[in-house]
Amino acid sequence: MSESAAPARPRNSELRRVLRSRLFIAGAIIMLLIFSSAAAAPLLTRYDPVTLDTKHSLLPMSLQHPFGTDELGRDVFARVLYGARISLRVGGLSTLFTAILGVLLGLLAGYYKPVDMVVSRLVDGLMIFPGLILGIMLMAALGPAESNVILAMTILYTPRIIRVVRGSVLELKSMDFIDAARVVGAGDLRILFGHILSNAYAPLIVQVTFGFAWAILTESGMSFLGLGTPPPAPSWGNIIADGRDFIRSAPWLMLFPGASISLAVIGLNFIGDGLRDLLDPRLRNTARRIGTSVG
Amino acid sequence: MHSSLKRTIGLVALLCLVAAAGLYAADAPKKGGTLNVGLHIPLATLDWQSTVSHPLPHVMGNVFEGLSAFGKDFTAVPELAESWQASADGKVWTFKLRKGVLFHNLKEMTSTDVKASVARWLKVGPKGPGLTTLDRLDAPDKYTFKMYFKEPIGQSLLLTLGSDENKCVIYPKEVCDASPKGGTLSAVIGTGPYKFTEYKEDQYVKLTRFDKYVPRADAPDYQSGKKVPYLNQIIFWIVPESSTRVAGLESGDYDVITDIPDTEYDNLKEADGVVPIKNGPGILLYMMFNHKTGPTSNIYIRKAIQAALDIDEVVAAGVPNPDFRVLDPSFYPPESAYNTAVRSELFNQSNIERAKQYLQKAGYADELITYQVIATAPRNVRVGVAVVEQLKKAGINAEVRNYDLQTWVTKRRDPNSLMIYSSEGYWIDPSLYEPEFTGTFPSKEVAFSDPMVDKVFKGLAQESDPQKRFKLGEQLQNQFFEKVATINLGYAYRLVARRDYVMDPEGNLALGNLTLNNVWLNK
Amino acid sequence: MGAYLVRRILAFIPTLLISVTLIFILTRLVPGNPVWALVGHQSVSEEKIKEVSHELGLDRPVLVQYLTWLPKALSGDFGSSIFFNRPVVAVIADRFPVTLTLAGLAMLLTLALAIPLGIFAATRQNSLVDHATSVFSTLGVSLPSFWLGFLLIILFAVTLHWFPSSGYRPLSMGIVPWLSRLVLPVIALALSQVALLVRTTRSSMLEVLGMEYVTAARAKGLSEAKVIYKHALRNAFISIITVIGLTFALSLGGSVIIENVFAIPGLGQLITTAAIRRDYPVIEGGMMYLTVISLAVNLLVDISYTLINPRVVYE
Repeated sequence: MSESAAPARPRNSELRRVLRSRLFIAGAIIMLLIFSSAAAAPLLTRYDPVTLDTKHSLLPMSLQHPFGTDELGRDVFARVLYGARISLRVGGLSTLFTAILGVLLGLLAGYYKPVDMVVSRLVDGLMIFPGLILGIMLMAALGPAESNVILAMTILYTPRIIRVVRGSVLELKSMDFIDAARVVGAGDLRILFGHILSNAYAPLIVQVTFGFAWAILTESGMSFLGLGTPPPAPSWGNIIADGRDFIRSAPWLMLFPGASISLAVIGLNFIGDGLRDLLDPRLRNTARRIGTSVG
Repeated sequence: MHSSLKRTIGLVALLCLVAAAGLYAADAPKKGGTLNVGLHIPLATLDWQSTVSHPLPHVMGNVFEGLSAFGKDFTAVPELAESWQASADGKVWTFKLRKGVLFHNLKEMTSTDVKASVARWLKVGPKGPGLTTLDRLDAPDKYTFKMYFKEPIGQSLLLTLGSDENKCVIYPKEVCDASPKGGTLSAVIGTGPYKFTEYKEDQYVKLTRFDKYVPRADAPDYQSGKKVPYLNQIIFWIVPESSTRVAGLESGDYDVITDIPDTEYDNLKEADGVVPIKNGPGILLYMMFNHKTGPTSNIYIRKAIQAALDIDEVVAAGVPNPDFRVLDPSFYPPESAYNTAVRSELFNQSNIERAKQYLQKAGYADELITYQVIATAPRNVRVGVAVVEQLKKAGINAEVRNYDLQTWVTKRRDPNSLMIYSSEGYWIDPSLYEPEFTGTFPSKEVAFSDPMVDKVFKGLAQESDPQKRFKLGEQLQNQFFEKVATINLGYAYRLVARRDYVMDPEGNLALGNLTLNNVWLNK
Repeated sequence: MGAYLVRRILAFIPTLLISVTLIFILTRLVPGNPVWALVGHQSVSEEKIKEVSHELGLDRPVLVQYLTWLPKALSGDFGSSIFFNRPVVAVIADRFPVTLTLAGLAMLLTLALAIPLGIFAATRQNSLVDHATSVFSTLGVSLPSFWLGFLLIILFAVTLHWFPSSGYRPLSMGIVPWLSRLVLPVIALALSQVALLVRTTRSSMLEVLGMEYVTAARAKGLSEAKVIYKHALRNAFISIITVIGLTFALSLGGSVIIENVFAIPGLGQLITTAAIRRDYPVIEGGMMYLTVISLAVNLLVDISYTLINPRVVYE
């Protein structure tokens, strides 16, 4: 076989894919680090996140307290580690519920017009609201509890998933292979969950990943405003909120939880980006139309 | 020879005089300038008569005045009143008003304005209804105002009228008539050294010097006495974020700032051109209960809580800077004339064993006891968290409940929600405790009431003799400890700060709510 | 297409109704009573609470309140703010220019930075600049805005003393005070917007640059600059504009946290404070306002979707 000059574009796109997957790998490594730190928290620190020690409050970083202590003498490193559990749990659960609910409603809305009329109106109605304000009002109405944070965040993000899935369904259902399946006699349910979902999962997975990142950011934002996960739970947002008054005398109180939030969100965004380019180049179109990552 | 020596002496004397004059001149207040104040919370309304909310005393204390006001030791001193007199039976109070005092609209203040203002204050404000024995008001002549009561009432009347929470300030009669609804004023007109100019909600309030201000003749005395408006303008900027307030002070955006976290004290001392000020009297952090329903209505549960608490740790949690907190068993601050050590053995017991015994006596079966805190008030949250941790160690199934302010206030009145909450305040005088411990606050369904305590308050309302009042104060404290009506969680001091060119000759910035009387700018 | 447009606008109405009802339900669901914030939370008698509630019409049955309120709300009359005692419309009109200034300046900065960067990254694909831009843009959307705000204040206001730390001065107080106080909040707001727009610009450009008409233009011998600016950019811009529109609408919602951290009296801060104080008319009016703007932007965006991608069949 004669050696022809390889066209520039294919090598570029291949290169890009590998690079992107490096992003994906980087993101995966970050998230793995966070997950394992959270899981191994009792091994990594002998302090627990809620025991007070007011005689040793506001201490700077030291060997004994790698992240210093907060205004109640609690070890910040311990709080950040255990806080990871909260962020991951609250973010993860709300993302899971969002995905389930969003897929169900999105599939139905995309496929059946009457369902679409109702769902689309509700989705539009909900998405109009400035997210944080809606979150504040929801939390004030529901009351302070971790479960309510999960509920509120699910309500806030599900509309986006519905839109993505619905968009995919709309695009796919007029395609040939669906007609073929119908001709063969496949029922609606089988078409929906079998054929459509298996082809639509790509943008969905990307959006869900970004949704996880959004959830972590939003939970910390709401906790920061005092209406998220109730204290003394060491949610990262709570730690930052507690440290607000001491930003000048003890900046480490805000530095480490803020860096942790950023790290988790970066990791998830890397994974999302990587997935988006790995899974299907065609889906760059769809993803862009819907709006990318966290908004 | 003789004459040249005389001349030299004369010259030296002249030089000394000039030098002395120069030194003195450096201390003489200058008129002019704009004072920028960084204020920590927004105003709900400009109508001081209708509310106790902060920061009205800070801002409107410069615009409005009342019959009486706080003096340096937080007793009531005359402000718009020239003098006052109670009848022998204590049922009629006569106030003689100062003559020639002008409102900002240049009308003279007379008894018709006072009568209309007091009538309005009674109607629209939260403290008015506390004067349960008031019968009627009268303005027999231009400079005399009388209050008639069904039962004798003592000096406490003056504190009720003049303390700067919901102060009974005097508006022109026309304004009172045109503003029947609390919270809205047809015009913002007072008698104070500065007049109201502009208010942009959640942004700023602007005050301008009232050139025709008629000051008192006596010496400056904290919120009363001679007040001279040196400044051209005062602008109160609303800056809720404490770190940006402090940053603003350091950069010169603000000349005075309020309500700074006490941990900033050391940084501010180091900073150039900035003077931190410890502000007293001590503010009591106190715990309150649902006295009518639920586990906390059982006195043994409350005694258990009283026994378990290590107040050292609790107050340290609330006030991180040790210089800004003090453990004092009394329910009256260290600065108060009523401060007493009565029943102090019940304070700061830190005795888990005894707590457990009380729990047994109460038949405590691990019921959940909730402590509601205000999410947006960091100190309130810290105190709550610390207390709950301690209660858990004593075997009480306690939990923190975190609410936004509105919800917290609503739940505090609700017998099915409230169990424990905490708050802060300063009670220089035992009478000031009355509204909260006579069965109506925060609501009838949860409030503390006790006939012995009612009797003490009645005595305090009627008694004017300082010795007798002191004894009554001790009785009140005794009852508070004995019945666990409330628990003392330690005293906190506030931190405010000014730029070094802000001159505060009376030291008012170190006292109570922000008071800018006789402040001037040296630049 | 025309029929689709009309149908979309008609669909506007039920969406508006749903949003409006949701607003009402939410504000009434939340426990609390504006009396407290008005009076301060000390001893208030039961009678006083009843009195104020009655004045505000809060003691009527909820359905009655809703039905009396709905027609007024739809016509833009929200009554008076409980706290400011001024018509809600006036209060919002006071705040909106502030948020508009913040959002507008942030958008200008975003456009000035993001589009050139995005184009640059796209044309120098896989170069160091490209990767750096990628990483930076991911970082930009990942930092919590409140954290970023504080970092900016500590660095630029407190340590370097370059800018004032907070607050807002209206233009009437001078252009320097006005502008210097907007620099830090605008940067904080713009950072995540820049990050997002750079990605979008880059990927739009990449897609367009890979298209046939670009190859054709190059083959025709047009200069690279002309290829980029005349052909590629113009076509990529359609989808870029979508993101710009959405982002702008979002930031008009008032970046609640930025306004909170920098003490800027804008619309987001108004609604948040109103939510905390239970100033129902303001909450309703403010959210209604944002709803209408959002709906308008969404409509525009939807229309442009059909222009970009006729493949999608809208029944």
